[in-house]
Amino acid sequence: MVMIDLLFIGVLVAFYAISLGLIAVCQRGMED
Amino acid sequence: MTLQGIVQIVLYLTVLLALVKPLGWYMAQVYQGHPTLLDRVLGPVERWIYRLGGVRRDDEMNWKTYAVAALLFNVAGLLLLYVLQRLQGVLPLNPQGRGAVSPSLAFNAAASFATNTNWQAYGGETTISYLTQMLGFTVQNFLSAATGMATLVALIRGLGRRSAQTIGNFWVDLTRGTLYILLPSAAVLALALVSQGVVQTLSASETVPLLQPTVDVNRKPVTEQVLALGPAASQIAIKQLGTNGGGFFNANSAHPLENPTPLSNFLEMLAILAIPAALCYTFGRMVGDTRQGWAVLAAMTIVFVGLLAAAVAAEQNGNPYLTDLGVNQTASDLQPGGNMEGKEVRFGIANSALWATATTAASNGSVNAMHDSFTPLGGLVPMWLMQLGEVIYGGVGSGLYGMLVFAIIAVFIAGLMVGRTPEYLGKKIEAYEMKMASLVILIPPMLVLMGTALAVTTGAGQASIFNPGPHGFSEVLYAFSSAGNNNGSAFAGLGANTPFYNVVLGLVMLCGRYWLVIPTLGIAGSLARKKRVPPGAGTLPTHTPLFVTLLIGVVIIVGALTFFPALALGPIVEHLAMVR
Repeated sequence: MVMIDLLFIGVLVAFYAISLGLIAVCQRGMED
Repeated sequence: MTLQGIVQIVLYLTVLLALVKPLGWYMAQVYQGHPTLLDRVLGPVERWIYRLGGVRRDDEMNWKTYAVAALLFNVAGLLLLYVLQRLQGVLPLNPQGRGAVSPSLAFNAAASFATNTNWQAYGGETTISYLTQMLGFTVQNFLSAATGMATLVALIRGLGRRSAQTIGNFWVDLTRGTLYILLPSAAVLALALVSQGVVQTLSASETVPLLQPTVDVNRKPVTEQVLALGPAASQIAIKQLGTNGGGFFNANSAHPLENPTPLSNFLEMLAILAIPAALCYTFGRMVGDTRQGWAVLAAMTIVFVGLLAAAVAAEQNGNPYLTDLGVNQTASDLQPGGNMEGKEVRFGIANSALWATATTAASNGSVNAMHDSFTPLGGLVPMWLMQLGEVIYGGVGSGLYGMLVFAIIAVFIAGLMVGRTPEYLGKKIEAYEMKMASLVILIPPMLVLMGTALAVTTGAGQASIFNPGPHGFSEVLYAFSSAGNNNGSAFAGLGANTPFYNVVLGLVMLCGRYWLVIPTLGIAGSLARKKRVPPGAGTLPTHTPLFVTLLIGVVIIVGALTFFPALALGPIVEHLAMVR
């Protein structure tokens, strides 16, 4: 059970990281 | 349609529109930091929250910092909500002894409530402890709504400011939105609902004798019933005001302890659209031209009334299959007539269709009738309202920022027609804004259509489709339309509590929320930097009936072109088969 919980928490953290990447891409687009 | 139904709908729209100016003015006061009547009571609480969080009210953020703060805050809430559900079995306020929520369902529910979707793959009264309902779901109802409103206010500041680097402070907007708008209004509404009989208690379920004893499937006599209770009113108030929609009970606002009387029904429906509609006036006031807000509100209201009429007509016309079974669908003094399958007798056709239209126009998702039992065209209306991007009033904050993105696209198209650089509220709309607007417009349809395609072409997705043919397809399309646009309502026939649907719909909800918030804030940051250009001879006025028509056209055409093929495979072909 703990493993699957870590998997879902990992998914959430990965989503957060991808979203930060999207912010960075949008910021770069603004500066161009 | 019955005269009584028309009167109720006209009364609803009249009261709703009458609330727009006072409520919109009040919210503008709150977000502009101006004095309000509640300052004396809530001011010390607000200052205490800032001290506790180390927030300096005057420290403004650029768009990037604002977006990171919003994202970080929401992901933290998501994680807490997930853990709370998983540990509810060993935590207090659990008189029914509910065990841990399964991992995939906990992930789905956490994503659902943090994104203001409130898609519910669980039955509240059979799965969730009171602590999870109150500390988890109800708290997220407030905070997800306040996040949407904060994003909108940041975009409005971007439109209203000149040559600025900042768009406000997320923590201040979040705090003020929650403290001065959502909490007081939810407290008042909760008390009003309790006065109507909505339950509010920490007691466990009660077993009561049946007034009319019956027999079960084995012909054994049944003389008692277990009544699920709980702290429902406090959750229902914010579920409507925050356009969240997640019911305390599984039947949502069709449940007699969640929505017992015509007055509670009216108040809950009013609460669904009150803040989203009033935010249009807030927008106009904050950009210094209330005509802009009225124009956007007019566009929303015209589409809403048109689709409401279509839904009421479809349901009032009844279902020919029921006619074949000898069911009388004619309105009379004793019955509302029409297709009453899946509807509460105490609400009838008008209030069921009005609720279905309002709850999907707003990204609310609560129901007082089962949308799955609507006629094909009656069900098409709520589905299409979601697919339009939840911009017809829409969610609190998210509806108007979606509509403002459509307004940017509308002025861009108008600019292409006359060969001028488009402007909106004196800000030049250039390549960057259009790229960000395109993301906002394209991401939800991509999520909805790709998710639906995945579900209907894989064994895991097909395994939960219990209705064959076009109706089963409609149920899947509805589910992804609901998740991708953060609505939360459902066509009930789909078995959604499976690992496949829990995970895929959960991811769709996350992407459909935050990947729209980010480009919206990007637009806010970009526009805030720009100077305001004075209107010239070639400027398209954006407060006129011409612009309202253009805006409606853009919203409808984008929605129609994107989803018509999918709708043709579901409700349209089902309707054609029904009328034979």
